[in-house]
Amino acid sequence: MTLRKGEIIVYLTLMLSIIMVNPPILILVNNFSKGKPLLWNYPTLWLWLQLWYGIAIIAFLVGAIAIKSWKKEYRR
Amino acid sequence: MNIGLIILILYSIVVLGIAYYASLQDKKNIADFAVAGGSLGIFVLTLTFSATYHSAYAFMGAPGYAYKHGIGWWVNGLWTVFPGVLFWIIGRRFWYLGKKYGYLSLTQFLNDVYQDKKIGLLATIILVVFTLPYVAMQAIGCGYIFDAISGGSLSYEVGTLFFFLIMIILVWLGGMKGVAYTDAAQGVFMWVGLVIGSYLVIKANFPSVAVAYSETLKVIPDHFTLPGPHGAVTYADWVSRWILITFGMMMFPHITLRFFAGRSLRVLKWSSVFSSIYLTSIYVFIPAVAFIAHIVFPNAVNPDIIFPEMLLKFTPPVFASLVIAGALAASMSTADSQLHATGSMISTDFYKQYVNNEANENKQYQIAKVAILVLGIISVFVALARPGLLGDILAIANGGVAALLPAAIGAIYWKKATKEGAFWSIVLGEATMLLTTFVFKNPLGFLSGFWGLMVALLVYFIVCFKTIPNSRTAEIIESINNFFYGEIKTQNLSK
Repeated sequence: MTLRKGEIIVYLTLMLSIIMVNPPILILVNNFSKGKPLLWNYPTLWLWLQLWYGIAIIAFLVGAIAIKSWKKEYRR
Repeated sequence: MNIGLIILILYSIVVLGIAYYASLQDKKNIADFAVAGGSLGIFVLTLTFSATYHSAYAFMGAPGYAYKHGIGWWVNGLWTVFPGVLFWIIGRRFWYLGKKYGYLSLTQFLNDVYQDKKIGLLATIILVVFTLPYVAMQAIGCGYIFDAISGGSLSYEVGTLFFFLIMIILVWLGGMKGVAYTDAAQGVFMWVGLVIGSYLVIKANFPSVAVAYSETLKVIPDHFTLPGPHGAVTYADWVSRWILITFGMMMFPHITLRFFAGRSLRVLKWSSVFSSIYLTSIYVFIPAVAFIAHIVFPNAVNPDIIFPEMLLKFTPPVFASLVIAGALAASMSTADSQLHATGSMISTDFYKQYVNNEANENKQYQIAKVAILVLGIISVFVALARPGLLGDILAIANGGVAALLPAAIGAIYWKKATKEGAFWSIVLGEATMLLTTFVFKNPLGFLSGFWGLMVALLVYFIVCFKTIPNSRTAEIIESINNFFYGEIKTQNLSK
């Protein structure tokens, strides 16, 4: 199985999104949120999580549009 | 008769009408009944996957959890984004195998890839045991909804029986098509109910969502960070919860059946993308709704029903009833899928394999229908008994199913996968999960199912390395890799 560059980038972005919303990064962001619970009047931690969930969805969307091996169709 | 009850009856009639429409296209064979003959399009597959995946939890459990434990609830986002990703990454491999080898279920794949029916039988037993309580739980939730929406004129018992009557008719009428079409309608209902309903509740009390957060910070500051006011959302809980639910849920039969139900890979891909977007978007206002409940409903006795209570108080009765019918939709769309999947599994993976391997398509179709009726009746009895133990069973259900993960996923990626590895990973994973549920409860704060999954993974690797794989495993994996990456391989070789 050989992955192309585009597919690798999408997978890395998805993995980065998971890393950013889990410890130890999550611990740092949570500690920051304790000092500043609101950012632009929205919960800081919630905004951080939304940001990375959004990035994951965008990466997935880009992958769906661009990755060649994701465009295969099965024909009997 | 109150407006809520009228809306509920109208809603049930519409859902049954959709199932009847689907039944007109039913070909009366097991492939059509189990996976809609692999014919679902993007819209229907997106919504049947999403609405099946998120149940009454969306309306009751999610606001209730955020109300009680704060922003840590949004670990939930990990299992709204990534199940869509997994539905594609893993699901496309199963979809391809379904087309190439004719699998209708995960068990059929396990039997073939490991060349050992013992693995499939073990998986079938585990899946039935851990899925059935979920069906009963949806019935319990619906019993309460019927009770609330009818203003007490329909008792819990009548509500539960009514619910199951509709479930059985729905699944019998249309099979996967009926379930999927009604799921699609119910998925639309769910989105409107949750997003618009929660926004209206916020707007009825505050000029904007941002102001709602600013005001609630003054009252419940601990809700804005981890581990929340009761110290429940620890980092160990966070990690084990999302891993368990995101990956564990992928093994439930009502989800795996949908791997095989898409019309094409394009349909599966876009359904996966849209599912991630749909599931993440339905919860956009939930933390705000849950937080303002501390101002408008301080000290709620049952946090799980704060959202319906706020709807009834702050939105017009017709709209509130419609949204609560959306909660019913969420329960029904999960329960009918579970009932349908478990019945289909008993027919294809048990009856056909062990009772009558000469059974033709029509016979399996009939058996699936009987199995659904029997399972439905069992679930009604469980729901009517309202057992206290059910909560414990549900807590371990995800963990129990997650222990199947290494055996199922390993065999679509790893040529060294062996039947011994699969067998012992399932057995020892389940044993660990039970041990850490009932004896050494949640060691180090990680959920029991997480320990079960970790042990299953470790055992799978060790035993597979020590044993000899069969050629069929390599053949199946090679076939997958050739299909998805064959052209790329050729290009790389020619460079």
